[in-house]
Amino acid sequence: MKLLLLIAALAQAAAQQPDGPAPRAADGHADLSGVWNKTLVVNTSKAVEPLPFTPDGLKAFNEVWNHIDPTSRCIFPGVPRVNTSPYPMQIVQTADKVVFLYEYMHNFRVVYTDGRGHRPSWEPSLLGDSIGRWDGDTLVIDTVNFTDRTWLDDHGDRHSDALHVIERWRRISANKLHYEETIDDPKFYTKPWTVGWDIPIAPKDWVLMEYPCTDNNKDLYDGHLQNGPLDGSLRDGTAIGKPAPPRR
Amino acid sequence: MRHASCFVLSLGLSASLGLSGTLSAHHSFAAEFDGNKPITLRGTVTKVDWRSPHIWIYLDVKAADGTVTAWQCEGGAPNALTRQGWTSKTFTIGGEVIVDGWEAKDGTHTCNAKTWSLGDGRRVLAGSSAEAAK
Repeated sequence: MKLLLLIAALAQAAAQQPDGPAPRAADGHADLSGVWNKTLVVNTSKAVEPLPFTPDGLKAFNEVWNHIDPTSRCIFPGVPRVNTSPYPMQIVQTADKVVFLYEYMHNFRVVYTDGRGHRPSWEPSLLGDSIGRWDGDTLVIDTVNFTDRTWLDDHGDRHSDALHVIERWRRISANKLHYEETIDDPKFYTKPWTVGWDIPIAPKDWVLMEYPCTDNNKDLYDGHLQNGPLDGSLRDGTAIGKPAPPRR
Repeated sequence: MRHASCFVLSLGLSASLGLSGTLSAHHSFAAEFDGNKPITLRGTVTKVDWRSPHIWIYLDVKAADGTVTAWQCEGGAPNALTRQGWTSKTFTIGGEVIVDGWEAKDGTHTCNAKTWSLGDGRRVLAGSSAEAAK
């Protein structure tokens, strides 16, 4: 068994790609294409706490224990939480669009970079309406027209239907993306706040798999789901229960 | 001891893969299961449900007095476990399994598994939703 694990570890190490400068697309932009091993970010706002809540924003944050996390019921994580949910994503870049394929809940986004504006007449949605543009080598995505039915993260950070998200995606090397998200939501926050982190490329042999969230959501079907954020954080800064032994 | 050394190796492998996929992030461990009630179950596998968003393993646990109790235990996401090299065939119907995990708060015979130990000594990382509680 040990030998098998060792062989598997060596095979995975060999699958890692040597780092180098970010590749370029035929049109000259940095090419973001690839399978990226994005990781779960439980509390996206941690680096900028305390958040600049409006009274309504603070009320929503504090009453999170009255609600079941929407993703537990297999409701899409929405933007920007789809970027901080677990499991890899694939980016496919062409001259006029960048396509994001997310393993988690099979979400996809087609972000046009051809200069078009937001759609004027569509109903608000979970993923919102995204348009992209290039700022040098950085892909800037502007997303509006959200419902208020999604959360920002596993910590239970909230947003209203006035949410406006600005994402900045930059490939800083062949093997690394830098991601930033700005949360601009004047109903819930008195000023926009921005957080960001790096996302590594996935091992070379990784491909996206299926994640049919509704296939056997037994916790939902059996009525086991409980209210509260996934990280179990209380609003006094503590967590309920003892955290289980870490295993990361 | 053999179990322990395999477990450590498994952890090392997971770390080398950068496996975000061992996480669950689907539902709240802390609200649904009791981190203060760890449990170890030894039983025989009666059913393997290798489906998203989490695998569920069903097992019969025999007490010292001979009574048998049916338990159901939740594990990680199939994609995370698959990337670690495990499949539904890792478990054998009628085979022995030892589950380390935590009991559900609702008092039913339900648990959230941290690890599964198989009859041949292999330990399968559960990738349990307990991870989301950190």
